[in-house]
Amino acid sequence: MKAEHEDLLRKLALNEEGVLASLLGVDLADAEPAVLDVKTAALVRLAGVIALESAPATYQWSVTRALAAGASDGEVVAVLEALAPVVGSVRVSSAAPEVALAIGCDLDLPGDR
Amino acid sequence: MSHGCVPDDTIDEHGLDERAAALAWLAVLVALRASPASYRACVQRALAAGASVDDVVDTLKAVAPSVGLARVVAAAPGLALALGYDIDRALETLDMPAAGAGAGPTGGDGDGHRRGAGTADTADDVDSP
Amino acid sequence: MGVVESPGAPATRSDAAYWFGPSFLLEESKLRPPSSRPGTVHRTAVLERLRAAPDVPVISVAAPPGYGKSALLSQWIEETPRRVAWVSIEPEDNDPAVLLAYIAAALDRVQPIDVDVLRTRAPPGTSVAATVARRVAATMSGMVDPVALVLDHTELLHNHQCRDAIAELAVHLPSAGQLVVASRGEPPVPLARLRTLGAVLEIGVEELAMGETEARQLLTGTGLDLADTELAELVGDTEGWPVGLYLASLALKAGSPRSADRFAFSGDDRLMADYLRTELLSRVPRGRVSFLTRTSVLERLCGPLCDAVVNGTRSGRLLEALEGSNLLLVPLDRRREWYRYHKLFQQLLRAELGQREREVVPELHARAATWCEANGLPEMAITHAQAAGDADQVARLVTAYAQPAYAGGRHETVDRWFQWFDDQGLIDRYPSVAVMGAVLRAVMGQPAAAERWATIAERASAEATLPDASTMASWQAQLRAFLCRRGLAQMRRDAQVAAEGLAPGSPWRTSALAMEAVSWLLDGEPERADPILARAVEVGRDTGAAPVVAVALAERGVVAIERGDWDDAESLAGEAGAVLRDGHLDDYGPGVIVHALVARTAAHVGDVSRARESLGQAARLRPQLTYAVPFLAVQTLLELGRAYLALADAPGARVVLREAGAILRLRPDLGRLPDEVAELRSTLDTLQVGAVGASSLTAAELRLVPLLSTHLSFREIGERLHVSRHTVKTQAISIYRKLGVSSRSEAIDRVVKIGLLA
Repeated sequence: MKAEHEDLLRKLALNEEGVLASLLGVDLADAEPAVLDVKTAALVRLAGVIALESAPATYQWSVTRALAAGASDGEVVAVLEALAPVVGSVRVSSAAPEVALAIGCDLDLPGDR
Repeated sequence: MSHGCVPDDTIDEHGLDERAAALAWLAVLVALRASPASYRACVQRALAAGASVDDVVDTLKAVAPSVGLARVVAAAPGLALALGYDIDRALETLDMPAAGAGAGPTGGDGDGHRRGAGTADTADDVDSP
Repeated sequence: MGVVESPGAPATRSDAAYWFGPSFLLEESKLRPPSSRPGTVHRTAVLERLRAAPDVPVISVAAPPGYGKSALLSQWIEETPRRVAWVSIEPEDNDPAVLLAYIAAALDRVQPIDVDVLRTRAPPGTSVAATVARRVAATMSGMVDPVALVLDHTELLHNHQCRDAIAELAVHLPSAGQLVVASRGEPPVPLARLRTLGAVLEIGVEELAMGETEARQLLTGTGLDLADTELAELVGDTEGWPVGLYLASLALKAGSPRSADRFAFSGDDRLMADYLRTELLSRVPRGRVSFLTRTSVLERLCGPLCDAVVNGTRSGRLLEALEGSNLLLVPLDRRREWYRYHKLFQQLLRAELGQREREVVPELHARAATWCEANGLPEMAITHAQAAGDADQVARLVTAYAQPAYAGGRHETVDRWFQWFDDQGLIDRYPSVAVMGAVLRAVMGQPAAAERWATIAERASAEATLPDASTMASWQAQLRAFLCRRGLAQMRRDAQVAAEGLAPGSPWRTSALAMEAVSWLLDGEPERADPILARAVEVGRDTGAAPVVAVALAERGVVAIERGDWDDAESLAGEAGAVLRDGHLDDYGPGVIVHALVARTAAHVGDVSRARESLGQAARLRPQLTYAVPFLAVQTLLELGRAYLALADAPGARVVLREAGAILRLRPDLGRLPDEVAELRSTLDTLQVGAVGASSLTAAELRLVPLLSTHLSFREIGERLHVSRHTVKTQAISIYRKLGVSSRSEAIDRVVKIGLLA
């Protein structure tokens, strides 16, 4: 496989913003607050990540952005709670450890799969 | 009908050639967050039908705006593995200093069988599933 | 012998004090290679193999006891063209600081080394293992002649950081340098990797087992001459195991008839012990046997010490006689003052002692402990007192020597001393140990252990007195002040009580003064804090409390900034930094505030790189800032946040403020700190989010960064950090993304470039 393909796929697996932005044709970084402020926008994206059964790298990225935008740990967790009725408890409980890890609780996650 | 891949009757019924059908199916797998095994079967089929590695990667790129980054990021490792590129290993491997040409295997615990110095040991598997 | 003279004597290069502070004892005997003794069999075949690979970087000599590893090495060092630096590993070396000191001293014997290279501040983000390895490699490459570093008995190294350090060194040796590692079991070097590189020569059981020629030489040396067939049988029975051959030859000489089962040797200790008992010890005069078994409790023997242990008078002569007649007593110095038993022999003697006079063993250790303490060997005394089960003595010694050892950087050693009490379930019985242990654990960033020990310490009667003449009440107050569980005002009162009740010469008094001062500062009264801080600095300098002096100077710097005097703050920052450097206090957790102050003053004058470097240093140590000493942790994190802000790094500031917030949730009553943290946070809210980069690395990720630069797999890293492989992988991915890289090597390069790693 060509090196450029390897690079692309590897960076995608990292949820690397540069390569994703060019693929999606969107600027992922500072969404200039149009209607929603930066923090709220970040938390909304996090909700989407949780709802969609995403990879750990995407969780990490999304939570980090939310925290960088000024969200507190409590607010991040609150997103999980707010989502629960909509996406169901199964989704939320499988998302919770990934969110916890992203906030920085070193929970021992089961399995190496 | 092959499990997790293009149904055999797609070609005749819908008028897509096998290559295009396989690539279309690949896009579906990305959208549905399929397992690595599914990617393997589908990619094999696509390559056998004359698709190039470029084609496979391009399909992922093309589908990205439609399915969003969550799906694309989740698909990358499985797709890469199907193409023979182990991303997990690549992210863990530290290139060795001043080795010969090409980085040797690393990531093992250093348990090898006893052999003379100079023969390459197969490093232990990084972790067992 | 290799004992440091009284603390008053000036430190010379051969003193441990030169390397590590006045309470560290450098045992010279560990640095002396065993001399090749005449009459020992010359291991021609093995030496030929070594000769054939003169430039192989790593030599591994790994075999069970009794195969003559040390003897081989002593023959090898006579013919190798390289200069040899030798260290015999002992259990005390399970502390990276100690191990490094011995390697440094060994290298210094080859050629005086540049202490500064060895003592450069540990770069931010570096793991201990990588630091040690780099320093040693740098020192070796700076030497005129090529050097071989030999580490004997590495099977005694279990501390992960020490083993990792040796492994890293094995892979990063300078050209023409050599590392020789002797071990009973698996050596602490990454063999698979080294084999792939062709960088290791392995000498094991196959190579070290004696063949018939060498066996014949061995037996001739003991005065025994066997027919060829008999010799072949003996070699077969013993499988060429040198010690087995030796003992068999002694038996044959003593005339015991051979029978089929007598020489069924294997490496099995029990067979050896039975053999030794029946064939050797039974023919030795009883008094002498008793001497041998009783003195086997000692790791090192000298005449006076043996006299003390066996209640005799002429042990010195006896040792000389034994050494001359027997290969199993090894002299440790040229003057024939100190010896040790061959390790295998010692094990057997101890087993014998256990069988004959088990009840006497604690008493023997007690006598040894007493002698060691009286003769200026406190650490040996502690080991013997522990073996004697004399907890009283251990407690006395530990409470006397814990602070100097801690102030000298030997955290692992101190930790082990206290851990012993925990393991024995004795914390309850020794309130002085409990209270000192609680304080040290709090300061070392172990909140759970500190809480547990504190609970016990608080139950103790306040009437008791500590060995240094301080009152228990004052110590309990000191502990309460550190833990600050009931708010700032209470902390102040506790600190004041502590300062009054602690013995005048006690270095801990400085901490009490400093804490009182900080309580005023955090209550918004800097002008009350400053004079007390100044006094703390003075008192601290007089009583050897260098760590606290550095913190107090930094606090004065914070006060200076508050009144707008940045010049004063900068010079105080420099002073505090010098105290840390001179005291070799690279890993001192509470010292982070010094780095924060340096970062702030540097940022103020626009010296961005210096500020970043200090923030990097701070990042490495941040995981040690816990709720155990909450006021200092939060204050330090706040100052770090201000430094990040000064560099317009909002994400970096947010990370440290989050950590501060976590501590504040547990300890909310900390004067004006909560408000100041909130204020800084809202300032950040007005700024743009900014790029999420390296300064956004969380404490958990920072703990991972140094390990990424080693050769360990994710799973092995997980074992070190007690998390799953999945966690390590996820965090690594997050680190790569924040650093803007996509591979592990790139991550290391980047971390080096931005100053988080050397």
